[in-house]
Amino acid sequence: MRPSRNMLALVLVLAAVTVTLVMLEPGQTTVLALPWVGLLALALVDLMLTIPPRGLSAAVDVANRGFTGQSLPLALTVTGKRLPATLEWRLTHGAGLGTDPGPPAALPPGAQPKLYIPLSLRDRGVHAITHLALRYPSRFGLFEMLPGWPLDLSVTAYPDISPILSGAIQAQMLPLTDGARASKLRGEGSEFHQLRDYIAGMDPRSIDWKRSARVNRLISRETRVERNHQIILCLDTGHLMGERLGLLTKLDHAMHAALALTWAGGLAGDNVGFYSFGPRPHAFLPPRPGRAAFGHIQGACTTLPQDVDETNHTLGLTVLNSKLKRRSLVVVFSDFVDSTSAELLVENLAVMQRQHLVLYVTLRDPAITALMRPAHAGLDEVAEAVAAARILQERQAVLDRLNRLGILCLDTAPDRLGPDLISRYIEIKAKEML
Amino acid sequence: MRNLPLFIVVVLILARLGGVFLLGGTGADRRLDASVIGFDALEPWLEAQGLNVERSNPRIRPNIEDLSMRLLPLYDTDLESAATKPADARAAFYASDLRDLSREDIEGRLYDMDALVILPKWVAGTAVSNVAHESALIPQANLHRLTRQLRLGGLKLRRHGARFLTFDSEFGRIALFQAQLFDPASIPDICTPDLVLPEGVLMVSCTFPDSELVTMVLSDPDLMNNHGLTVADNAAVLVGLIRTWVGAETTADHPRLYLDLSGENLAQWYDYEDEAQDYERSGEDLARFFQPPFTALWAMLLIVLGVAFWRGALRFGPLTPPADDTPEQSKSAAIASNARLLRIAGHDGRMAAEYVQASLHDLAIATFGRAAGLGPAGQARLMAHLARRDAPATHSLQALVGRLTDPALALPPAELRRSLETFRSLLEKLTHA
Repeated sequence: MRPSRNMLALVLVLAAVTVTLVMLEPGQTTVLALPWVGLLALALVDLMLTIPPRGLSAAVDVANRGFTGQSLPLALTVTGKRLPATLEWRLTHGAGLGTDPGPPAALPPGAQPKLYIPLSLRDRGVHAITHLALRYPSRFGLFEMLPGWPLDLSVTAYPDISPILSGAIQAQMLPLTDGARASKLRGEGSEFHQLRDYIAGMDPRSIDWKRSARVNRLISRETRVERNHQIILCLDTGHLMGERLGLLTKLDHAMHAALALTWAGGLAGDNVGFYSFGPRPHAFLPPRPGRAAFGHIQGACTTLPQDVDETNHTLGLTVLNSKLKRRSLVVVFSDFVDSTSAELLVENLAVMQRQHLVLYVTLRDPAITALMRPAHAGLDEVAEAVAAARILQERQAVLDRLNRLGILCLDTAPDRLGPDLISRYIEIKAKEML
Repeated sequence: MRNLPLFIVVVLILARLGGVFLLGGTGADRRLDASVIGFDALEPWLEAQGLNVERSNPRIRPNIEDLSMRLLPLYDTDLESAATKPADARAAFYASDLRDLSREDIEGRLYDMDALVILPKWVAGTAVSNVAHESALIPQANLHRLTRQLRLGGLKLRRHGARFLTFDSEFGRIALFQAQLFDPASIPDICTPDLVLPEGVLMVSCTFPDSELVTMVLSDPDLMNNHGLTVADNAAVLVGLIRTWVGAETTADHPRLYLDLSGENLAQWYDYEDEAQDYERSGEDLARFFQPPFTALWAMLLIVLGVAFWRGALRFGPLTPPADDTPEQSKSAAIASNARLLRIAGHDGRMAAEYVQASLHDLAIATFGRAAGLGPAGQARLMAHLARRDAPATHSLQALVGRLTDPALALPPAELRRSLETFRSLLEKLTHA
């Protein structure tokens, strides 16, 4: 319990009145004491009519795991003989969690009303919730009651695989695996699929003459898009990837897209490997087929650290290049600030591109794009728009240069990264670029 | 030395300030004191003879109690009227009011300490011409008026012609040119002759009825001024006279003669007793702060502080974490500083043109894709696309783009702002219609 702002204001007003009375009537002690006695009496009555903090109890319930970038509902149950009409709450928790305490919330009716507090998971890892504090005003608003309870809760945040669990990835991959697009692409791949009777209208070059001679009728050889390709997901964990776009860092956005691509690669029958590098290279998970790779990569992502130093692209990509013996699709998730700092990145990607198909993935900052379209065209806003446009132009110049070197580029917004990456993967598969 | 010029300038400034402080007075005053009728030579001469002399300085106000005698040369023959600016050069030459003084001021000085008043003799032109011609003597009528204003009654002066009047005193020979002496018959009762010559009285000592101080009046300034000190034994006689007046015993501080060449009375009384305060405090003084009505104020202060500290001591919720430096902050700071530089550069027209081009380029790529939306072709295609939606608005937009991107057309800032706002609203209308 502590005095409220109203109480403080009242005391200050009474103090001013007292000073005035002392100046006007120095000897009138009774007159001086009267307002203070009145305030004391009012405070005592207020305290008697207010629900005491010890008359309340609170319970908190929350799921112990969740995906980064998403919110978990934290259920706060308040019980007591009498309950305040409104209350405010504060949670003491780790830096990887986020709460948004708003204005005083009205308690829903009932004996054990529940408040649902959205708890956003900002970083991967285990985060503790250690204390709950409540605040409600006294009856006349002269005091603030501050009950609090220690908590021993922990929430583990994992990389987000909700698109996989929801089937969104599978739905997006359907055209490649079983859908119309796959049937269309039959015959256009290089991997043998099946033999079937030749029908007039089919490409005569598809006739398998040896087998046709053996069965004495025309047999056509049908091919399909190749499988068992090697995909290497390569994550930059340097300090630039620590920039937050929305709730999550660029590294977390990249990780979620990488996991989605891992699942998509498994569905498409490709082998997926994982590699990360910052100032120094991290562990390399060799390509594994299908879903076997997913568990390993998910485990690696869960504990992947965020480096605070600058990325060494030369060391990281050279080590990766030395580990790859077979032509692979190397998906590099990285970032750069300007054309100068991107020089080493471009050089090393160009080296890698000689043996492998490189897809360079970077995230566009929606805040900079928004700056380019100011709501009000004042000269200061226009100056900011021009500065933002110059940054984007320089960024585009680097991407154009990578394109000219034969490196595929994907520059997209964070919320579109997963679907766009899968689409580009399907396109690469369809065009047999590997 | 790299800072030598600066050092020289500082030294010169300090020297100038020091000179102003030490020399004091105005240029005219200094010229008068250095002239033949001035008294610049008096101070070094008396100092050389072992007498302690303090010369008046407009920036120093000595304590009267430290001074023994005031040497007061007068250059004003009318104490009751202010000096007027001479009308022409002739009037300036014959002016007898060289340092304007008021009667009250003079009386104040005479009532401070013993004084030697030196009556004037020569007009202003003498100081410049250095010629002691008869015509340069101040008219006697003026001097009579002056003695009246000094409350010396009918004390009259007599001149003794253009010759040296000599007299052998006990200290040496006195020689005065165009001697100006008091008429012994006109000496008032309050005065007694002090230095009597056969032709008249050179100096009288007066005691005013309402004062115990002695005021000596010297009839002829040529005994003491720059010119007169060099004549005969005048200088030795003067020293002998002063030693007679102030007593034989002299120390480093006493007697202290005050050569008063200032237009105002600079010597002041210091009543140290009035300024002295008893700083001894007792416990009762402190206890008074805790007696009524102060007790009410203290109690009120304690209540206010108590409530404020009570509120401040209990925090609701966790500490707010400090904002860390993050990459996104550095990026926004870089954009803000770049934008600031663009504004400071002062090329708002070119900046607006770049903004227009970037907006259209961005819109063209967003509409047609990167391949088809790039360059002027992409922009032309965008305009054609927009024209199909709203031809008049597109036409206005094209005209506006032409004006904003024309390097030869420098739009005034207000019009530039209006045009940019129109461009933005037109583009919004066309793309979101």
